[in-house]
Amino acid sequence: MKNLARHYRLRLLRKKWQIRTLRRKKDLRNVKLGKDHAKKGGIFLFSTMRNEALRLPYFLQYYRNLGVDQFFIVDNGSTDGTTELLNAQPDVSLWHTETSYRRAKFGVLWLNTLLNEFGHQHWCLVVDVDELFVYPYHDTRPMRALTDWLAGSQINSFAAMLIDMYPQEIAPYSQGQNPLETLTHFDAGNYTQRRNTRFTELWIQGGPRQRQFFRAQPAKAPALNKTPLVFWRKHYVYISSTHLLLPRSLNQTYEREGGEKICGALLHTKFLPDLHDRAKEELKRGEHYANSAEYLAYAEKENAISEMWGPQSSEYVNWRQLERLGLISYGGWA
Amino acid sequence: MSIGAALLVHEHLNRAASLVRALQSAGCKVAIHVDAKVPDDEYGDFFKALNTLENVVFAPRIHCEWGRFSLVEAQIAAVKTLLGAFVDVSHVILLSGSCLPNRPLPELLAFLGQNPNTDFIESVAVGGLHWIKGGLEAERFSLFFPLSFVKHRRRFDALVWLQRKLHVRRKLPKGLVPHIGSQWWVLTRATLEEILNDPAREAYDRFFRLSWIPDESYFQSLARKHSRKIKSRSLTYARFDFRGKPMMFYDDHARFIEHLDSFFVRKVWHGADRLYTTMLNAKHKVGPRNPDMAVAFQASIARAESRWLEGREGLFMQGRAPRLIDLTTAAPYTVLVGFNRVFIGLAPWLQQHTGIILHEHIWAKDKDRFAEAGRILKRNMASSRRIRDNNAEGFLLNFIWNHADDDPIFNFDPATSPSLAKFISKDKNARVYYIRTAWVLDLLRQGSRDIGAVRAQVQALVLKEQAHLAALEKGNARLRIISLAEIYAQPGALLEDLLLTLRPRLANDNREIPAILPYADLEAYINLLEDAGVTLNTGFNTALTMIGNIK
Repeated sequence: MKNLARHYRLRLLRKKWQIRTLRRKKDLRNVKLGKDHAKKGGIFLFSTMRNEALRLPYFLQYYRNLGVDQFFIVDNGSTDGTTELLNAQPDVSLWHTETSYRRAKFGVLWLNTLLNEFGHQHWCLVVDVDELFVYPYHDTRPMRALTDWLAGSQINSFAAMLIDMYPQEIAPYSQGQNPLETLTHFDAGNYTQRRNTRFTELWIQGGPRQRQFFRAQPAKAPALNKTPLVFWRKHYVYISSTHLLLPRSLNQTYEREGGEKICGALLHTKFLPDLHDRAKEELKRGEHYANSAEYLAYAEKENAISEMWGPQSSEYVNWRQLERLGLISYGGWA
Repeated sequence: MSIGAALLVHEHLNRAASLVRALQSAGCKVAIHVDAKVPDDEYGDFFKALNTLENVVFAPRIHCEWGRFSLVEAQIAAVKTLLGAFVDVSHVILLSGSCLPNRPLPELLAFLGQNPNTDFIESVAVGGLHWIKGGLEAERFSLFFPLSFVKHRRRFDALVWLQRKLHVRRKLPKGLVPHIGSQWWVLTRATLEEILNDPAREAYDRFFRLSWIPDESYFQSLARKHSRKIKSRSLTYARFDFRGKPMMFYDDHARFIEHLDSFFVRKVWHGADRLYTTMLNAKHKVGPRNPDMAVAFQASIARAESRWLEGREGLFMQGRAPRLIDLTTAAPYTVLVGFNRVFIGLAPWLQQHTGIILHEHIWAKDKDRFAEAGRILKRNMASSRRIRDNNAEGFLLNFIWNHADDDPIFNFDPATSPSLAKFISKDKNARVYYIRTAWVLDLLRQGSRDIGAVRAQVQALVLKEQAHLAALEKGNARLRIISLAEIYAQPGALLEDLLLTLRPRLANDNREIPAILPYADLEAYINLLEDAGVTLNTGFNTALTMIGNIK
């Protein structure tokens, strides 16, 4: 009985998010549809962005290499050439909006709209421009190999925690460059997680942002757990960035009996030298999560980035290193 | 003589086509069976592209369903077509569209030339070794399976359940001894013809039509009846994981693949471009098989499987979240309770003799002490006390995981973090050395002579300690309780014991031990307390003779 009640509460919540999603559909104006936007069995990427001209060229190249067939992008009023850049890509389907990012639950509702319209029965990857997706064997096997294996293993959602990358010494970054050439380091062993019973997700916190900007209130540090890759169906909704999904079984991307389920990581390339100026601008707009508390820290501290590195930081090598460290796992995939 | 390949194709027709071309140009005769499920236009293109090739024929198409007799029918159709079309075929190798040769095809031809009368078919008597992963075994033959597992999963399971309840046992046809084995075989023309022309075949077919996964038992059983010489091994490497799903080969397996003890491998992922181009290239040169590489390959597969089944103990991460009750740490570690009160300078002493770092203050409530202790912790894990306390169990798990190779050892006061004390008491990796009533030394150092004030404090401490010890005694942690009396009787004994536990092969020589508070001060203080009616469990009272020895 209790289970039934809970089941229905969650179902209602999911419906509520679906309605929210529908209501924000009018925000989006389609600019163009790419050639392969309905490719059968295609792997699709969904993203929302604003003024990302700096990271965008490498982002597109990186995901094309992994085998993404089509990019579905919401451009939220970019003014730095992002729009033009996206318009010139044959494999990008583009939507434009000038409405509030915040009102769209930080873009989630826009993405849900597109996912429901184009992602049904496809493997869908939802990432930001500053996230590079790595998974076991990503250097030798395209994403299609991963999704084929997941499908064969009856796994519908794939976890990839956010790993903040930072430089040892700040170096300039130019458009098109691999951001990992300058963002060389990461925190290897200071993540903690709690399992929440309501949505059954693992809430992961830690990393350099917690230790640098949230040391006074560690519980408020950003969540690092993400489920960016899902075999999408029409009734699914993301409800908090890509941290949480409904139905909640999609959040259960882990084993509870001792084994390790396959999982990957999103290398976070936020901490490029443009952070300080960006933070100032974003603060003015006030469109970000938790009243932009995080951005406040970046804007206030000129040297926020340079303080992230320490002698205990680890230099990034490859996914096998992450696997050995226990941050990701190849599960049963040989 | 020549070799014929009976090829079963279900999907990814372009890959199958390149396999056919490679087989054909190596001099093999090929009969192709394409699943009737494949759309006609796709089949049409495939047919047109290959039909004109010499020595390639197509078998009539049958609608195949996984686990059912239609797969055997497809095999029979392909074999019949092959034997009928090419009279010089002496061996038939059964292949699927997702097989690839892992050795040059001429090697296989030469190998079969040396073994002209041998049938290579894995064929294991049912009920013997556990050949099957994740499924039914003897029941494949003793129950009826009229339903499709794929289409009617629930009814399938219900029917199995019902038949078990009713103790259904099918009768085997005469002369049939059920054998099971990999469906990928090489049989000689003589054996195949005898199987196909067996007068009792109709009865056998009727039997296998209602048994489960007959493609792994039809030829395997009948070859036992008709073959003159069986080698019970498959020339195709095919591995199933614990769920019964076939293992996939990818481009990064290229360096292993040629060393496997087989001539074909299955299944190759359809997108493995590099494997397809190199392994199907007739000019591709390979060295002799290196058994070490094959072993390394098997080990990597076993490792992957154990990752999913068992995982790495003590790891709590996004893919592994054991229930709290099952949560343990990654490696054995030592917890010292009360040592910081009794001994002065224990950490440098331990490091001098063992090289092990005693983490004295990682659980300190004091900010600066923690910061100092944290500086030597690995992987940025100790940046602030608040972060540590935000998830103390997580911090401990990380600490042990990150320092698993360094013999983790730390000071701990259960009174300051009761929840963590509880966790440690349950953890089988914990080795707790507990000096009982060591807090008396704190009181002594404070020099508090106001017995009225101290009494309440002492009683609270006594109760707390009893609770901790009770929890520890119930839990899985290894526990050693030491009384103050024992320490004062033989201060060195406890430390020697600790040293030898940490470093079992350490030489036994006369080491100086760290300083402890003079006994006389302690005795006077304990007497003071006891005269005021506060009894303590220091062990002194029960070991009067021992105290006599000290004096």
